[in-house]
Amino acid sequence: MWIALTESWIVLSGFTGYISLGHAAFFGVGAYLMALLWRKLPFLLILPIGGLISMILAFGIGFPCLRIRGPYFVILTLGLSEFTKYIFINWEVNISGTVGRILLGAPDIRVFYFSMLIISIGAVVNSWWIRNSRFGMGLLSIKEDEEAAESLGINTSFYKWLAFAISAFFPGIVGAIMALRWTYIDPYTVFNPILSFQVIVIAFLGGLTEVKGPILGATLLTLLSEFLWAKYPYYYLIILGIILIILVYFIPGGIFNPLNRLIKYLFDRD
Amino acid sequence: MRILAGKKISKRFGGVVALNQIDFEIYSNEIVGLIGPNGAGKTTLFNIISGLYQPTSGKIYFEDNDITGLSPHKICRLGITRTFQIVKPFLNMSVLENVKVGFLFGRERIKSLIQAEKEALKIIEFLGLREKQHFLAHALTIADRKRLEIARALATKPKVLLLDEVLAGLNPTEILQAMSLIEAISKELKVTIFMVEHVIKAIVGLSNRVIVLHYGEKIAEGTVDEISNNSKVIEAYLGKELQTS
Repeated sequence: MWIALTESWIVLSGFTGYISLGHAAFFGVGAYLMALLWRKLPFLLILPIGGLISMILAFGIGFPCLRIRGPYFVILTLGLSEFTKYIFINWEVNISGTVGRILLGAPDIRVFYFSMLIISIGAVVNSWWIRNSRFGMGLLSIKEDEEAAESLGINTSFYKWLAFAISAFFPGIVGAIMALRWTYIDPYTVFNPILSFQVIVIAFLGGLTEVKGPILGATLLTLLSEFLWAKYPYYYLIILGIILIILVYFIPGGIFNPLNRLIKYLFDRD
Repeated sequence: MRILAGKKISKRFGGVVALNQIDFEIYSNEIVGLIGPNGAGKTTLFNIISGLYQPTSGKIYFEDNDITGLSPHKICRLGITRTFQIVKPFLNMSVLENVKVGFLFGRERIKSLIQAEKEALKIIEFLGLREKQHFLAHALTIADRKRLEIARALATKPKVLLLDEVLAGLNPTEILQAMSLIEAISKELKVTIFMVEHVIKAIVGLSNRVIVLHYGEKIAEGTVDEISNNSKVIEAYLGKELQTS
């Protein structure tokens, strides 16, 4: 799950440098879509719909958002994500008069596992393909210097917009799957901004512009937090936080650089 | 043939008039110099031609088509590319990748990365950066970064190249090398060049015509000889002669 979320996140934020805190919004929209359509449509059909609706949403909010840069963009995406959350809370309380949704008749756990696996692979392939394409070159140029990129013939606003929409597709699907997996959802859990933060932590851990980064980052963080949680249930968040601070502080480029150097070092000794 | 022209270009930033009713014309295969003291509006004029700024009034024509108000990427695809006074290479990309971007997105819009790489190698060879093609741009010296900036601009296959102070900050040897490079770009690649420059030696050695700006006004235009005898130009650079009687 984290692999899919983070891989899709780096398409916009890793490649162009526009750090987005809006992933939770797309995740939540996907989750709610599942809640609304479950038992009305087949499972496998709801997933792409979740992705597409997220994409459309990203097209809508990307248009004004991507005109601003730096910290303002970060804050705006966080704000919009929270805004979406409160729209859903409002809707639950005032219109449908509920707090959350219960999804009954969830399919077998293997269905989740394999669909998540496929989505993750899809997200990895997608990022890899973009990274090695003309489109990816354009996005990386935007990260390096937007003004220079624009004056070399890159349609920067369109590229950013497209990247934002593509990066919204996968969280929409993942949200839909997780809604069914959790069997109970409410706006507070599915629009949890912690999700957006965790995506960023993973991306920084693995390295921002590498396709393999999120895979390693997600695996590492998940294993680490499970291990700490099992061993030190009371202090686990504190220890995790300290480890992350140390990692980001000492190896800001992600754990790949030192890892590569280590491998090189081991081989060169022969 | 007239390739680029400005009609009554004005630009205000709040109360400051950066450019006031500037007319200019550039013909194919010319090298035109744009000079003037600091703050004269030279870079502003370049920013307007390349589409980064909108003029407050006036029009820009390229090959007799109105291009005023087009966004920079469209202007680049039509065939006008600029370099920046403070060079902006993509620092975390290699020299080769930098130039590749120009081919992929410039006037030719090459779709295949392999094809773009082949073309990029030619330009890199032409600019003498071959040995450094795999260096990251931030490992280059200032002189090489400027070269790279020119290489990347040439990769977009411009018809008109706007050079914004490419010689500033170079030592005398590097200036001579860069001058012969500019000459080669003009003669061999048949690119029209419009250059802002403070290095007078280069203006004298290279340009067919010179336009002089001062406080946003065009005060003179002509060959190097005409300009250097123009009293207004002398006044702008050196001040008025003291009236002693």
